[in-house]
Amino acid sequence: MGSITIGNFRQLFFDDYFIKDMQNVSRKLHSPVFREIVLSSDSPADKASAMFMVVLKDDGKYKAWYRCDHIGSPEVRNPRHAAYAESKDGIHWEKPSLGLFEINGSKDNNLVWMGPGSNLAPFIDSNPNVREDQRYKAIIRTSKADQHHPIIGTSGGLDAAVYGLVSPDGIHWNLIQDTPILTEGPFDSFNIPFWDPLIQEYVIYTRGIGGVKDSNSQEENIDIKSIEYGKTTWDFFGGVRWIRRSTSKDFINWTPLQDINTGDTPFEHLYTNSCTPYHRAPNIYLMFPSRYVIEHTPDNDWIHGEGVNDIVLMSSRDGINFDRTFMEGFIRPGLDIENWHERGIYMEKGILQTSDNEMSMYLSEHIRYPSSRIRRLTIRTDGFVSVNSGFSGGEFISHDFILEGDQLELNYSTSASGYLKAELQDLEGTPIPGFSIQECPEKFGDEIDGIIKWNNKENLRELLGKSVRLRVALKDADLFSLKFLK
Amino acid sequence: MSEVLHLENKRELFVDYYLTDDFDGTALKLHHPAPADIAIKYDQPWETESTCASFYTTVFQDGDIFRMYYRADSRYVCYAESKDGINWDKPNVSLIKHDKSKNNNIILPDCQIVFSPFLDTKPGVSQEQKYKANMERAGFKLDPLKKGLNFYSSADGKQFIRIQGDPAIPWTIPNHFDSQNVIFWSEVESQYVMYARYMVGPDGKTIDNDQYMYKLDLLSNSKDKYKASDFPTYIRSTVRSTSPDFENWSEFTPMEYSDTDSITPSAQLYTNSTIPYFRANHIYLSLPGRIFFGKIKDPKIMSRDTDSEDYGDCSDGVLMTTRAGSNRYDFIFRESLFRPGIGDENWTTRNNYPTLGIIQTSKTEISIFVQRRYAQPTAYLERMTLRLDGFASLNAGYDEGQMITKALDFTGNKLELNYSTSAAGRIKVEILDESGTPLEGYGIDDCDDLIGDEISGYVSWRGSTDLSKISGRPVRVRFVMNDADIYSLRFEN
Repeated sequence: MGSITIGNFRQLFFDDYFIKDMQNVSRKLHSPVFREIVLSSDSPADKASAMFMVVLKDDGKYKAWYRCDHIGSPEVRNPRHAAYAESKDGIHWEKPSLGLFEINGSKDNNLVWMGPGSNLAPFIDSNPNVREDQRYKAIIRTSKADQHHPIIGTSGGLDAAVYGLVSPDGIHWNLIQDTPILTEGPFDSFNIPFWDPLIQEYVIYTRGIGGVKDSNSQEENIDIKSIEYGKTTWDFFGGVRWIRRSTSKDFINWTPLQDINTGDTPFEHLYTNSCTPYHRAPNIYLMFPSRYVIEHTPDNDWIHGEGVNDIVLMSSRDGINFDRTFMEGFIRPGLDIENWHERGIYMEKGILQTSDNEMSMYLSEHIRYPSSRIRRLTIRTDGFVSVNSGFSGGEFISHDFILEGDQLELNYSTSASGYLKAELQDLEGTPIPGFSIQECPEKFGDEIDGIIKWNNKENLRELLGKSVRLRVALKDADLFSLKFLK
Repeated sequence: MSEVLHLENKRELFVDYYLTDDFDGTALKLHHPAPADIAIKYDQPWETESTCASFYTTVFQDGDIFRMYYRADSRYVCYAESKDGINWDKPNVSLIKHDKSKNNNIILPDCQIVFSPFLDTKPGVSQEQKYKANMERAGFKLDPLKKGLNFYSSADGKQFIRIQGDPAIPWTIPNHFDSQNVIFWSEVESQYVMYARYMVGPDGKTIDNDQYMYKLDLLSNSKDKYKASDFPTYIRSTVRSTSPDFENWSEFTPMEYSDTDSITPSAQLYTNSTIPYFRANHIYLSLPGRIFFGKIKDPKIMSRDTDSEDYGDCSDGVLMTTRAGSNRYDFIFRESLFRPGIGDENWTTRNNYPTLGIIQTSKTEISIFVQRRYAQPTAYLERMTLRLDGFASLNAGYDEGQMITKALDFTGNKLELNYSTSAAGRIKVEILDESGTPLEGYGIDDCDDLIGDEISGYVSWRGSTDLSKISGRPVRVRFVMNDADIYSLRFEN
C-alpha cells in the first residue's frame, strides 16, 4: 500500500487523498449560508451590473475589484469597466471616490479601469522577486469593443486575447506590454490569474473547450469560426464550456493552455472557475465553476437564451487534475426567481477569513437584471466537506504517512450525543500502545482547533518520524479538517 | 393490499414515513436551521440578579403580533412582543413590582418551574379565557398532595388568573411535570391535548409513582445518606392526555418512540415542545431538548447555579413528529437538529433547548428559537431559520432516484410541491394505479420537468396541471428526481 506525504499540511476531505477506508461514515458537502447583499449596482458608474469580482485581504483591509457595466446606447453593448471597493469586515463595502476616470462628466467614482479590455482580475504578486511597482498584477480580456483601440487594434489580439496589467497599489493600472500574453481563445467570461507559491510560478485559469473528440489536440481540430452555436449540450464550438490552465515564470511568457481533467466524471459546461489555493491548505486548489445546464430552461420566455446555471465545487492537488466527488450543486440558484435563467449566478473569486470560525465568499446574482448585485455567503472555516457520521457511528482509517508533528489538531463538530476518538496504528494495523482508541477519551464539542489527547499521552513526540496510520471513530459528528502540529 | 391513505387536500411533509413506501436512490434528509440573530437578551435587572436561569420560552402568533413568554431568573414570568417575529420588545406591562417599580415586563411574580401559555383556538371560547396556561406547582417542601399542575386564563395575554383547583391536575405521574408541559386546542382532534413531562424506566416499563415519590422524599430529606446515583436511572419522557373542555382530562398515556419501539426513548428528552405545524395541523412537530448527564465538556465552564453533580451535562435539540390522535413519536432523525456549536458557553447544563412554538417570519421562512448560554449573565434566545416546511425533505443526489408512495386518494385537482433543485436537477411525477401501472396521460414521459426552487410549484403533464379526472381514486405517486429536494406536497383544490 502506498504511503502519502502530509507533513504539517492541513488535511481536508475533498478527495480520498488522506482517507484509505471508511466504514459507516461518508464525505458530506456543506453548502454556504446566504447572507446579506454587500454590493449593488447603484452608483452612476456601475448602474448596469456588478459581477466578476475578486476579493482579497491586503494592508489589514479587504479589497474588491468588480466589473461594472455602464449603460450604453441601444446599439452599443454596455461598456464594461472595472471598479474598486474596500471593507473593514467583509460585510460593509465602500466605493471610494478615486477621481481617475470620467463618466457622465464626473470623476467622482470608483472606476480603476475603462479599457482596453474588460473583466479585470487582479492578484497580489507574492513572488519574492517581485518589483515594488508591480506588486499588483491583473489580466483583462479583449473583445470586439476594443477594435478601435490604438494598441489592441493593431496588436492582433482582437476578440480572443488576454493582456497583462501591473500596478503598485491595485488602483493605478498599466498594460505590462502592448501585446497579449495569451492568444489562443476562447477567453470569454472571467479568467483567473494568481501567483502559485507551491510551484513558484504564475498561473492563469481560462475558459476553454472540453469534450471534443481528441481533447489533447482540440485547438488544432476546431475551426472556431466554422461552428455555429447549437441547441444541444455540445454547443460550445463542438464541445462544452471548459477550463484550461497556463503557467509562467515571468508573467510574460506562458506555457500552452492545457485542459483541466476531471477523470471519468461526465462532461458538463463549466466555466468562471474562481480557482484559488485554499488559504488554510495551500497545497489544495479549490474551484467553484459555474455549471451551465443548457437543457434545463425553467423560463421559456427569457429573451437571452436557454439554460440555467448553478455552482459546483471541485478540488485539485496539482492544479490540473480536479476531483469531482460532489456532482450535486454546491450553490443552487435558490428561492429567488431572478436567479433562474442562464448565467443567473456566478461565484466570485476569493475566500475571506472574516472571523476565526467563519469564512465569507461572494456570489453575483440577478445577472442581466437592473438589480444585479453581489451577496455574501458564509461557511464554517474549513467547512466545505466533512467526514460525517450519523447517530449509529462509524470510522475511517488513513493511508500510511510519516508523522511530522507532535499534536493532532481537529476542526470538528459534534452534537451533544456525539464524539470523536483517534488511534495511531503501525503499518501492520496494530494500535501503538498509549495511542489506541481505548486510551482516547471521547472528544466532543465544536472547535476549529481542538487538540486530541490520549489518557497518558499529551503529545506525539515519541512517534516523530515514524510511519503510522490514523484511525478516527466518530458518532453524530463532522470532522472538517485535521493537522499534525509541529 | 394496505389501507388507502386519504390525503384530502392536506399538506404532507417528508418528516416521517407516513406517505412513503418504496425508496430507490432517494432518502429522507434532515435540514439544519441556520443561526439568524439574537431575539431576546436576558439583560434586565429582574432577569440577572439571581440565577440568570431564564428559560422555557413559548412563542406564538396572535393575529398581527407575535407573543413570547419566558421564565426570567428562575422566579418571574416575563412577556415580550414582536410585529415581525424578528425584532422583539419587552413592553412595560406595569403589573408586578420589582425593586419598588412596576416598570418592567413581568406578568407573574412566582414562576415555580415553567409557565406555559397558549392561544385557545377552540371555537366559541370566551374572551376571558382566550389565553390559557399551565404552570407546575412544585417545591421540595410543598405537601405532595398540593403538587401538580395549575391552570390559568387571561383575556389579554398579559394578566393571568388561576382557574380550577389548586392543583388543577394532581401529581399522579413520576417526576411531577418537571419541565415545560404543553397544552393546545387541536383543530383536527377537536379536543385539548396535553403533552406532559414524566419519567419512565430504562426498560420500557412505567415506574410506580408512589415508589418514585418515596425515593424522592428520601433524597430530599436526607441528602447526606442518599444520592441520586443510588437509584435506578429513570428516563425523562412524555405522556399525553386529552380533554374536551379543559377540565376533564383523560388518563395519561405514555408516548411511544419509534427509535426504540417502546415508551422509553433512546435519550433523556427533557422537554417535548410539541405543536401542530401551522401549514399541516394534523402533523405535530416536536422539538425536544435532549440531555446527556455526566457528559461534561469542561468542569471549569459549568454554569453558576450548578453545584450539584446532577448539573454536569450537555444537551442539544432534536426533531420528532407525531400525528393528531397518535400516541407515538416518530424519532427518525436521531442526529441533532442543531448542535451546541462553537464556543464553550453552550456546552453547559440545560443549554440549546428549543422553545415551544414555530412561527413564519417571511413568505419563505420559518423561525424557531433556542436557549443559549443558560444561567450565564450573557444568556440569550437565538432565532434560527429554516425554509418554510423545510425541516426535512425527500432528497436525491446527482444520480436519478425515485420514491413511490403508498396507495392514497385525494380531493384536490392539482398537485402542489414545495421543492428545490440545482441547475442540473429536476423532478418528474408519475401517477400510478394501485397496482403500479401508470395512468394514461400521467406517465413519466407526459410529465413536464420541474426545475427551480419554489414554495408553491405545480406539477403538470403535457402542459396541464388538472387532476380532477383521478381525484378520489386510489393511486400511488412516483417521484423521479435528481439533485433535488421535495419539502412538502399537497393536492390542492
